[in-house]
Amino acid sequence: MLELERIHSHILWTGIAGHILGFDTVLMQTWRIREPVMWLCELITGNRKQYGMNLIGGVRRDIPREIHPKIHEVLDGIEREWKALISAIGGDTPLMMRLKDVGTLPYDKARLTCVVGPTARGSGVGIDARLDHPYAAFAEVPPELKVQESGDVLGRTMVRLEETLASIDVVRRALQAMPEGPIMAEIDSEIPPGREGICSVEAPRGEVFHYVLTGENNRPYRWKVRAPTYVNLQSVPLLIKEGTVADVTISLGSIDPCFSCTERLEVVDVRSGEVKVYRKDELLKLTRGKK
Amino acid sequence: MDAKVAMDKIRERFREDIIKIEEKVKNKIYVTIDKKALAPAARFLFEDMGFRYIVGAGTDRRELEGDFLVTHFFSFDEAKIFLVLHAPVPASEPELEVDSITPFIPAANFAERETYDLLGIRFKGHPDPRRLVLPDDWPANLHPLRKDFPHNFRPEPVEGQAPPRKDPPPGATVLPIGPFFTVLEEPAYFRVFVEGETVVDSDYRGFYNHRGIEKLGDSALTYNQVCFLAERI
Repeated sequence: MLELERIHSHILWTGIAGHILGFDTVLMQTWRIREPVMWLCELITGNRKQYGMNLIGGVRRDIPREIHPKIHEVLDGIEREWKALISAIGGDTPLMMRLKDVGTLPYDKARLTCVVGPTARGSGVGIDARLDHPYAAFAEVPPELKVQESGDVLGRTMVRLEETLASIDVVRRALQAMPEGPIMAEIDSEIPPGREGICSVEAPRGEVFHYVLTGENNRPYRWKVRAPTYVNLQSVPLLIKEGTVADVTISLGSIDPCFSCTERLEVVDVRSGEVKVYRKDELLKLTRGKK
Repeated sequence: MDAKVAMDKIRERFREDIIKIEEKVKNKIYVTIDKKALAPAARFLFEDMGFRYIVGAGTDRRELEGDFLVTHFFSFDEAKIFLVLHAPVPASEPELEVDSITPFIPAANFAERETYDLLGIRFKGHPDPRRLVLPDDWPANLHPLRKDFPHNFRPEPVEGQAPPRKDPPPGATVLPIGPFFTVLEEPAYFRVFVEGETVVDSDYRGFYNHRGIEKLGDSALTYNQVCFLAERI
């Protein structure tokens, strides 16, 4: 599931990058390629996004054997099309000119700003939480590490393009090695207060870090999250310095920023200053209820 | 270098200041250190031992230990080691303050500013201590991640106290991108300083979408609910 997320996220990013550069064919093609992955996610979890799979002690749903052939079929299709797309991008001179030597973050600066994910790996820093701090089953099905030395937008792009193929490989191996068994551990006692825990997970944009100090009342006393954009964003001033104005947007886009991946709908009445947050049923009524 | 070697090195260097050091789980080292040695220890880890800085955080432990906890998290990826560096700051001190590590670990910039915003712990010597995550109209000296701050409390907006913006270098023109801009799908405000077409510097103001989910997690939700919220970050 984590790798399917990476696959569709990298494909989505490639489309957005094309869009930022004014090359919308890339956007259209990549999003077309991406769509079957979303269907797969829905098939496995019930949702296209925000899967709601994780619980304390396990996951909500298993991946039944019957849908393995379907998953393989989708992966084969994506792999074929993705290879074609990589060679098309590589052979496109104007596109390469917009990516090469743009928004460069050299190795030592990448170490200093502690960037993570494709932003780090595009600057030759070979870190990946899946390999460095293996979680889930990544110790058994390690992904192939993709690193580029150039540090420019092209480097980060190539890392994502190649990682997409590496992720497909991981999903195939994981499906093959998947054991039978319960999907939830039985937790019969309460989580005791005053315990600490840390963990890193390699999200598509880089390392997500969690720290928990357990507390009373079945909830954490302190829960700290550090999403990858938090550190990557701090490198942006370095990326855009000495570049041209036209390259600012793709340099910013190249870290795949996610300022906040969830929005809620808040409506402000400008005349009265009244603020209203719509609830789900009200939103549904607004949209589906219309004749 | 394995976890044991790393622990020995830290012990040797900061013998006087270490309050506690233990490997709670394999390759996860927890160090509690006197607050005056926090910055030197962070610098030693980062510059001499090659640790990567992950993030910093603060915890309001007044009801447990009578202090605030400042924490810096590190990773040594080559050897799969995590290191947690805690430093307690007694709540009784007139000025809640520790030394900033941003001058030599630039990656700590956001984390230290956020910790001040949310908990009111100052980082002495921070090169740019402007407000980061709280909105412009949030009252000064009101720190929402403190335990005595209810998660659903809405303070009255304060007019006209937006954090100062960075001045462009002499001769440069300011090109604003944001807070709402066509190529950015989400709000963020970059002020790009240009000379002709060349970018000479920039300034950033963001976190317009800060949702306070950490606060929700430790005051309104249960463990299983947190999982679903965490996924939506």
